[in-house]
Amino acid sequence: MKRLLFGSNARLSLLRAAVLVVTAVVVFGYVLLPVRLQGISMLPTYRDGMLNFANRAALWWREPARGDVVAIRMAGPRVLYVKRIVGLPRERVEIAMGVVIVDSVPLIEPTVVYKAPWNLPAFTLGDDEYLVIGDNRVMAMENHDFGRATRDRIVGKMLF
Amino acid sequence: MKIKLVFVSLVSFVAIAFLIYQWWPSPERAIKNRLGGLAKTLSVPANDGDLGRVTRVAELRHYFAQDVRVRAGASGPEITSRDALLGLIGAWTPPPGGWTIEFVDVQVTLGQQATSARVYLTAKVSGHDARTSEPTLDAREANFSMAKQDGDWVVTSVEAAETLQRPGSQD
Repeated sequence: MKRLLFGSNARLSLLRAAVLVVTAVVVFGYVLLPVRLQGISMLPTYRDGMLNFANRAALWWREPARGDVVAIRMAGPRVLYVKRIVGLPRERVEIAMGVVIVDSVPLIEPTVVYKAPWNLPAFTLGDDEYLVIGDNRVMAMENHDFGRATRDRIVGKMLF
Repeated sequence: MKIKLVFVSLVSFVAIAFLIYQWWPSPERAIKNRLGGLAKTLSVPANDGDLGRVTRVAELRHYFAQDVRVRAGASGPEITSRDALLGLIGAWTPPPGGWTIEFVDVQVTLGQQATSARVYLTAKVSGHDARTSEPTLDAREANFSMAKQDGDWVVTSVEAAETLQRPGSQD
């Protein structure tokens, strides 16, 4: 039994276990944040109850891009919004009959299957702001959590 | 043998240091404990009765300053006294399945004399949908102001904050 737990070299096994624990703590505590998705706002891309990871490393060398599904923190990383980026800093955005229009060009969104006729007057995003919306837009606009998020709130890009 | 001794000493040292860090009394820790108690008191068990509601309201009295101010949003109505707040909580009927409130990601900034503090946190509300019994989760950021009164930390103001700024709200 002892051999099974520790192998032939107990010291080496303990070292391996310690490295494994430290690696897991670093990876899942600081790089790949586990996210259990709750709610329907990202249907059909993500189902309620799915497990995913917010990949912080994906945004270490580049800024968030349009189409990225990102995790947005509240007071901290324990509770996160998961939304898709549709508008980038300094862009002028409006929504007309459910179609997102960015700098006067209608946005093609293949991931948005359900689209209610939302209307939102044009507005310009700030230097540090992104417009984020869920993929499920079948509900009335008032019932969907979306809006502007500042860069410091975007903690990572969803892994898959 | 010597290596084992070193290893055991190292692990013991780390464990003791961690326990001291966890339990060493400090205003931040006192505030976090107090907020943990508040969250527990605000949580409603399934099929909570009138007695439970009355007890909860009586307990909540100890967590708020008499002139507490509570604002649900930038444009929402403001509650300006503890009695008004407790009256609202007492009159409100919780969902039959109850709910659990947790304060997570609590960040405490103490005032200069350590008799006041600003707290930034996420309030997490979990429950079950009344029709489908599916688990539900709601969360909201909030800024709390707290003050030490008669030896206890009490909430003097609460303001909910919007994580995603709805377009048009600041244009």
